[in-house]
Amino acid sequence: MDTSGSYARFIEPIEDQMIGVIWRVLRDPDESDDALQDALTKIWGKRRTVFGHPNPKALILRICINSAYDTLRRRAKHRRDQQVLREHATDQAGPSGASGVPVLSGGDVLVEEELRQQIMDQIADLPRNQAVAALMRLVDRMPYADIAQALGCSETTARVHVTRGRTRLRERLSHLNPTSKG
Amino acid sequence: MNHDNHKKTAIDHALEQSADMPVPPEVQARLRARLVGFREKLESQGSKSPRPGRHWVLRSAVGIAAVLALGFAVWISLVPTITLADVQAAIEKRPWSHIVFDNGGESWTSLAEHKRFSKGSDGVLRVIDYVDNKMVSYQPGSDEIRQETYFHLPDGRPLPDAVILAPKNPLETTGLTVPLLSVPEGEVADFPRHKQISVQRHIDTVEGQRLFRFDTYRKGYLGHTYLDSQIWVDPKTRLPVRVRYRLSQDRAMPGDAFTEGRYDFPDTGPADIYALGAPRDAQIVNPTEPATEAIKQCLDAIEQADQRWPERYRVVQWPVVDRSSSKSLEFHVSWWNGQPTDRHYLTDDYRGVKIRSERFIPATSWSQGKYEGASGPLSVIAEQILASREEGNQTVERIQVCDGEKYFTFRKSGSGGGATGFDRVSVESELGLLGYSFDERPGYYLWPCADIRPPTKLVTDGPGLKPGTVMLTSRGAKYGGDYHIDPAHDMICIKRTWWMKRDDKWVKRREHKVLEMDQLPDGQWFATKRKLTIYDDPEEDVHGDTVIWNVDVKVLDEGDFPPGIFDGQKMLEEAEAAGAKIETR
Repeated sequence: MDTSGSYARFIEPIEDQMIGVIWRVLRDPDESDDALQDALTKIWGKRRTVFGHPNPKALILRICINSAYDTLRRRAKHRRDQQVLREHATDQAGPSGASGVPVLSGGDVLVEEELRQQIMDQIADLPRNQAVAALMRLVDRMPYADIAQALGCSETTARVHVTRGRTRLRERLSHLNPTSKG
Repeated sequence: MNHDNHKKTAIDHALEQSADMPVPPEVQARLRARLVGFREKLESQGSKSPRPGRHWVLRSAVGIAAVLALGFAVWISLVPTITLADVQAAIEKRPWSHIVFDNGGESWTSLAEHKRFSKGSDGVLRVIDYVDNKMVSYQPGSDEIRQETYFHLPDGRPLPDAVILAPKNPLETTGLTVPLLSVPEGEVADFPRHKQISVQRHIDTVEGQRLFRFDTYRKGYLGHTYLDSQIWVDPKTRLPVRVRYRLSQDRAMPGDAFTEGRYDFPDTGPADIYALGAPRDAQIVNPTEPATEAIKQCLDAIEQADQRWPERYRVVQWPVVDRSSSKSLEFHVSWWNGQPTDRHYLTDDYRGVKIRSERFIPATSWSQGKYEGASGPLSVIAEQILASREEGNQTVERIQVCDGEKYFTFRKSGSGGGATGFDRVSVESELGLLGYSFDERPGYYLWPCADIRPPTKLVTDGPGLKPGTVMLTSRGAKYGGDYHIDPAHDMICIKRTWWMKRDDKWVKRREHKVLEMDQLPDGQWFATKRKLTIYDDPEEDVHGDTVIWNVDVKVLDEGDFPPGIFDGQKMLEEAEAAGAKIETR
């Protein structure tokens, strides 16, 4: 397959979106770099399928979000492992040990960043289709039609994935007492 | 507001904030570099034919192999084998070599005349005369043509032989980044030791033409091998037709970013920089020469003050607490064992200098309980900060170690993890030290050299100038700087302003001020409180910021450094054993 014009046609118009969606999900330069590289490796390996897809741009964004989602899952697992280790250490050393949680000096920012982190951890725990649909819709504001084409489902099903993902997020975050901005 | 709505608002608000969050420019640049590499890979493969169906391949595999083997044997027997020595000999017979690069760059090189003309991808024009060791350059948009010495050795010593940097090996005219390879070992002791290289020869078909391809591999810093360049040679003329080489060794250009060039070998080259497109009415200046004797004396005094700075010391820096700020509280500590020397045109020379630099975030309980209420001399607070770090009340974010040869960076990728769990390590050569920031070494902000060009104006009085101080100013085509110098305090730069020309107006980009000073035991003045202001620049997506830093400097002896703090190799092995990802060239 001649892929010489594929970049200009399909990837160049959404470069900013690819970078943006990965960054907004991960918010870490190294992880974003890795996730983009993983996504590009997948696009390269399946370039015939990708560039022959009815909506290549949506599929490429899905691959990027999938890659970010995989990184989120790894990160969430790592955080859980660290939490267990910290709790174990606290049990042994008493309650005065360091929290290990990143510290921000502004109160609101601390709450929002923690909340955002917890939301991302919970998204990482959703079933893949729900997570990817939720990220596409909630973090990247993609139209449902594009989400549907990227997931290979109907627009109605895409809406269901997003709604279920959002509902599960709310259920799972019900233990939080977040600061309202509204 | 009921409970559910309350949560919905906060969760949606957090997600909306994520959706609106701009990508920082440095992350943009890094990720775009990945895309550039991918585009190149995609397009270089574009012309390949699609793979035939699997069944057809299986049925015909044996036949195809036989045909290919036969064709290859016939081709080999018809085309003479050539070596790089043959290629060199062929180039040597041609007066000029000319390359047009796919990034818009172009170069002409004459072996006989020891000259090189080039037009960079950024439009910068250069003419280098290796015999006279002179360079003439022109930057697009400037009204000046710069005429200056091409290459200085450290400490301003003259080159032992002006022609030494000129292409000696004809292959160097190909634009490959190997001119220093021809410097005989020991001839100039200060040159970096050259990396090991190896070359492999292949047969390749490009656009229907059968060519020899020579692949050059280099050794990376951890002993691994990587592809550095490829050159395609026409077996009939034995001249190169195409070259492809790695763009940069810099971390800012990671992965497999290559550029490609096409050759021709004309009988004549450009006559001068005007032939490349420089305007004839541009003024010719020599920016390496101070404009007046008074400026030269001032610069000499600054350089002498810089050279008196101790070789071994520890710096602890922490910000003045601003409760209204939402920024994270970050402490910096660095140990230096050795003084880098100035290396004009490249970078400071750090070989043999051992450095360790740490950035860490204090735990809330500690920072609120101790740091915010801390009082007393800065040296006492600095010791408290270091003691707290030892006790584990800090989260170390990044450690950079230079052991005198290699440069290691240990990072945490995720936001979790304990105080020692680094999951990413990069290893580079001393060139990686370019990554050290303005903050890391007091000499950089106390005696900043004119970063764009030497100052062209010395102001001794006037509005905005403190009594007893002088101001050096420089203005280039795009960037400029003002340096307020205090002769009564070791020529320290008490205020520096970075300028940038935008729409024909000079606008401030950054400003650094020394707010308070103290003296080291030997009387050397240094800043104990300094303020860095970054101004808003929506055009480059830069958000304004101001930080005031407390600084404590402690002069050390060789035996005063904590044991093993410069042993990056050992830290690397420990991190690797713990599963960290290792990155290197």
